[in-house]
Amino acid sequence: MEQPEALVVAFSLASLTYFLSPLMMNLHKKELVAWGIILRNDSLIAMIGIGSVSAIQLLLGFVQQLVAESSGSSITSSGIAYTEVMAQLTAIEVAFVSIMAVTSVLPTMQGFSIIIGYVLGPAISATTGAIILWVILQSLSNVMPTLFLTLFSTGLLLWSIPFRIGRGAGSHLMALSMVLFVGLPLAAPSAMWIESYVLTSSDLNNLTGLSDTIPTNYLSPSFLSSFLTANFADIIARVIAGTTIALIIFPALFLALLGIFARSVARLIGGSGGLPLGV
Amino acid sequence: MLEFVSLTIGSFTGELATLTTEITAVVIALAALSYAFGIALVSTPLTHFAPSLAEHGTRIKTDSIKALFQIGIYGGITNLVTWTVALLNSIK
Repeated sequence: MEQPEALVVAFSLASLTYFLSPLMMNLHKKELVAWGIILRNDSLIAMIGIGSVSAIQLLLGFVQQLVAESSGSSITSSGIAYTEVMAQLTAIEVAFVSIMAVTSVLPTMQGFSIIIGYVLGPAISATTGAIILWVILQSLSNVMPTLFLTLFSTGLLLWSIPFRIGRGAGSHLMALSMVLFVGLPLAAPSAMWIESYVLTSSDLNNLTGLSDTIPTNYLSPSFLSSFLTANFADIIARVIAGTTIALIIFPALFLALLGIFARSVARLIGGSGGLPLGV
Repeated sequence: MLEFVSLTIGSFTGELATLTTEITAVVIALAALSYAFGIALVSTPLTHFAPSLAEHGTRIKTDSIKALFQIGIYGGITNLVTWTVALLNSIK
């Protein structure tokens, strides 16, 4: 169903709801009169919502811009960030698979390939899963400006069904479309920001600052080797932590966060609205 | 014998509009009946013995007038909604 057609049907349902309210009020029973008042209010809200779809989209665009600009230069453009994420994940995947291939092919490294397989097997699976998740996020982020209107209109249509039959589903659909519209373009820039924070921030020196523990005795014969080893371990730890947190764990957490937001917004626009007395 | 009708958006909204009109007719008829019943309750001599009858009659009359009023102001309500929507959409 196209978006204007869904809105036409939603408006017809809102009108039907409006004309059902005096009918309920005329039945002279407390619960039914309460239903009548609720139906009238719901129909008016639905009518205003149907007319204001473009204004709501404009408002959401403003919120998204506000979030992106309030973070300063730390959040880059969405398209560039998605490209960076995909490039990094692909490079990691290719590197892991290459290591496995080389160690498996060389006859002298057969034993080593079994050991490294235990380490790299889960890593390759996690990276593949992360690539699939990021591709889904990127695809949704690209189609969301178009899909938003369809999802929101369908939500309004469900919301407008008389007697609050589709109110919960409609609210959740509208909330999901709004949250995805605002949140999805921020996923990759946020991941890039987290990765750069883990790689460069001095806040994490307590965890990875092994090089600081080396006594600066330049004349010690073991200084150079321990210094290089500690710095190498520091860099490797930061890279592994950065890529794992930002590229593999973060998208799942981000989707869960969007789900929590969507639930809150759905509750805000009446998804958990109670029924009148005695019904 | 069941008759299959192809359901399109246009026919569906048409059916909804017909249903709305029929409901409006029912509401008007019911309001007229309620009003007459309310007047009958108010004007019955039994109210001297049971004053609550008069109260019920007055409430029924008021409810029926409210219902008719709500149907009557639908045009005004849609105008108000249109105005509100235009106001919201004018924010650029």
